Amino acid sequence: MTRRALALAMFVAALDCLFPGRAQAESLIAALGQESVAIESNFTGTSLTLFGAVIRDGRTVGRPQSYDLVVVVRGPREDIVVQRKGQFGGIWLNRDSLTLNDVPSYYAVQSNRALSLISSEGQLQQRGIGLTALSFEPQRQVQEAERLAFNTALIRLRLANGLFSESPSGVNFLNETIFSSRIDLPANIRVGDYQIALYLFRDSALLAEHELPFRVYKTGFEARVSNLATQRPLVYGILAVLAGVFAGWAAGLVFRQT
Amino acid sequence: MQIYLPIAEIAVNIMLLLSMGGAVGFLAGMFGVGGGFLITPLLIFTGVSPAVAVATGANQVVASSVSGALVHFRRGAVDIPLGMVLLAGGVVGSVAGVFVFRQLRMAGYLDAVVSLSYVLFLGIVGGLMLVESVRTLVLRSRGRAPALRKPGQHGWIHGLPFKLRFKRSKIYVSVFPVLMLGGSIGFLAAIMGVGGGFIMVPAMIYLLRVPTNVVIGTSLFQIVFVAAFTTVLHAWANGTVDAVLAVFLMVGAVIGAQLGAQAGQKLKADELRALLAMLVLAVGLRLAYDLVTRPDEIFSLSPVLI
Repeated sequence: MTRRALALAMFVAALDCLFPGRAQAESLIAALGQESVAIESNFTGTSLTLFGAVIRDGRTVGRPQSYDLVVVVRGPREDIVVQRKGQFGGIWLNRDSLTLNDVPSYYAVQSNRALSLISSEGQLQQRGIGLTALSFEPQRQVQEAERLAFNTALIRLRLANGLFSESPSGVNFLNETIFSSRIDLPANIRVGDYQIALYLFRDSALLAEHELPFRVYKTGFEARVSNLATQRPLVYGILAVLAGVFAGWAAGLVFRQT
Repeated sequence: MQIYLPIAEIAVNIMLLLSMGGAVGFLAGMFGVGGGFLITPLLIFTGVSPAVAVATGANQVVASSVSGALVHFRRGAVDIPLGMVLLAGGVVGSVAGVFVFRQLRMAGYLDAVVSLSYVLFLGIVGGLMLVESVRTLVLRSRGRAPALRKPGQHGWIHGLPFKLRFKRSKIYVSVFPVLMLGGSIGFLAAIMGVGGGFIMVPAMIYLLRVPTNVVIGTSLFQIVFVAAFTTVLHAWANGTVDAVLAVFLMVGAVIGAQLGAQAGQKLKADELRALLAMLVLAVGLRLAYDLVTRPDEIFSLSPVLI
């Protein structure tokens, strides 16, 4: 699968050499080794390989600075409750919480070098590139210091469970124009539509953008169990009980005979 | 081999689940208890959220009490009318418990309340068991047989109105204490994911004066149905029953329980009972420690619950 993507990238690069001189100076093309990720019962995380190439016309050849590439992967968005524990009567329990809106369930930033070397903070902030650019809207009015505390905690917790990541060495240029990047997806990823955004920079200036989607879905027994649990919870509950009754009854039967 | 649990949303080792179920089942079979009170805290230690640990614990209790209930039923050691009245109370208690559970969960207090209930509960059960077994051991070492406890007089209970006669148990008692007992067991099942046999059995003996030969069968009869009802209710109202997790625990637990029951007949249980008491206390202490020490991370994330 990944070989096919590489072949595609090479083909595009070759095409580009044969037919130079198009209107745009630079553009991007990229492909994934697979367009979707299936979560089965034995799913413990996976990784996707992204291949791509910078397509340039004749006029752009031979500039001294090399390209910088940033890959941002965003999962489906959802509102998240961030809870903060405090001490109450000697025990630690959740004292207050803040709901943050439209938090991507997965967020990974990969680049060929440190983001600060690639472009200006303003440019990166504007496009939501980098963990420092992640600022979420609170559902109720709070002081900025409070919002920031919850916002920072959310990012820290997501980093800890692998759903957020930032890697300044996550993009490899195979030559001047062909690049690859590995996207690690942990076991706890949400299902839904994911978006990969690629940003091409040179000398701090954004030259080109490109987007491509992929999908994460559940399949097999795993999918049936969680679909039943959410769509027909009553049936699911009854089946869970029957499994229990059967297990208890069968064990009694087996051990009574031996 | 890892398996991804669909509701708990974590990947765990299958062998860990099987052996956890098996170990708890073994202890449960040996001492004739349900084991629900150990499964839920162990799941919490494994990283399963307390909400899922409790509801899945209730599901596991169904499996661990069914075979025992069937054995007693075949022997005719179940007072069905008494069990039905207990069950009626249990259903009401379970509905109330699932409602409280839901409210606590939305307010963000569920984890702390579950842990706190377990600390209290394991402390009391473990403490009583330890005192009891140490006393037996001391008496035996002095060469005296442990004296049988005399049930206390609870005359006020028998003075309550709306009396019913339960033929199998040979008791004539007001419905109120029976419903109250069933109700509190149902509430505990919903909040803590336990069967509640350790409260039910002594309460039936000492409060209701049910003869010992029908006590265990009748309490198991009620536990099976209350745990089943609670599981369905949790699945429906909270979506916190992880059937995949429950199945692995059940398989381990039912096998462990049978082996434990066989081992229990051969072994002298007093020393083991003291060990179980210490285990129960250790689990309670660990939960208490986690509650009172400042956590490394005071923030946590949760989906928006509606």
